[in-house]
Amino acid sequence: MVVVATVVAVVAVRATIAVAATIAPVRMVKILPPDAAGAVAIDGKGSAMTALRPFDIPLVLLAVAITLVSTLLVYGNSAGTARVVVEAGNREWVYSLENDETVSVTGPLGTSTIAIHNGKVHFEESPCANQVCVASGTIERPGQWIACLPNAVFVRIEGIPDEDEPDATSR
Amino acid sequence: MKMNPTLPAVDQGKRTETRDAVALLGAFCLFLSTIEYLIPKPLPFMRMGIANLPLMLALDLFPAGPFFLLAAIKTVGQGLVTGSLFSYVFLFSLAGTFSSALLMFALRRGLGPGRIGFVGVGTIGALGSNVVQVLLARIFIFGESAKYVAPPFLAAGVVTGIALGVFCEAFTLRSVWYKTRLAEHSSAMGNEAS
Repeated sequence: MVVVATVVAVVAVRATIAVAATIAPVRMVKILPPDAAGAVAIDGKGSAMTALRPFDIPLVLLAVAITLVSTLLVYGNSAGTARVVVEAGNREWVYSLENDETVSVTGPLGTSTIAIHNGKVHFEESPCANQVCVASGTIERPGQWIACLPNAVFVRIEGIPDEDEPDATSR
Repeated sequence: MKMNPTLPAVDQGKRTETRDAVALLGAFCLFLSTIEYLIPKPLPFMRMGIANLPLMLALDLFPAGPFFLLAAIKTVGQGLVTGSLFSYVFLFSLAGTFSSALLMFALRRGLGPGRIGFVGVGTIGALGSNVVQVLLARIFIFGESAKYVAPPFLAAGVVTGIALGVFCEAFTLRSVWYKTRLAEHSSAMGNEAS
């Protein structure tokens, strides 16, 4: 996913630069008066490249690189780290899958207790009649979920695991 | 956008001419701020930055003093137009404008117009402004989660920076007004040097 994003971004930037490099000078070639070159200090190069100077492309690439790095840092990390999302009623709580925690949420029937332990999540207890939620056992991978429908509590794990690192979620 | 080429050629001294040009470009900053304010934004701080156009055009026209005066006029004018003059948003605008003005001025003067064009100047200027504003947002508003704002913010800066740069290149090559001002400024610089 990261690779695809990078390729797309690079292609987009190349295209932008190409557009900038072609459209602008083509328009300028016609307009550039013979004496303008001296005033604008174009270094005597042909007018076709007046729009982009030597430092422009490296600087634009630098800006793009900073943008890409920030994208990878922000979204790359959050994609690798799975989060536990607990929903009850209209509210949502988000917990880290990596920190052990016991979460109590209140639904229409009473309080359900959800345990996050060793990167796994399960319903410890719930005030429902059928106890399906407790019987559901544990979940540990993004996309998995357990729910206590009678008490309207929904628990899911979010985040895309890095396929190369199976231990990413159970560190 | 066509500038009026029939500016008074009366020799009133460089100071007056510079002052007039600062006033004119400052007025453009206000006008463009108004236009900018009309355009809906996906995020409160995400601007196209067209109000920075006069600032970029001023890079080669003024010495440091009048240039940063123009930056100040732009910031205050934008604050007035958007009604954020007495809110924390104004501090963001101030910090963003001045960091980008400093970066652009240093690059354009340090490297010279032959080595760095408006595309490079505009991109780095937008990047500088956005980085500073994201850092401020991290400190004062969003805290840790400010980083989630950063990527789209920075990407938008790259795109608008390039767009503004291309516009400035085209404009400076077309505008008679700009060339007249530029010739006056460079002759003034030459006189000081000799």
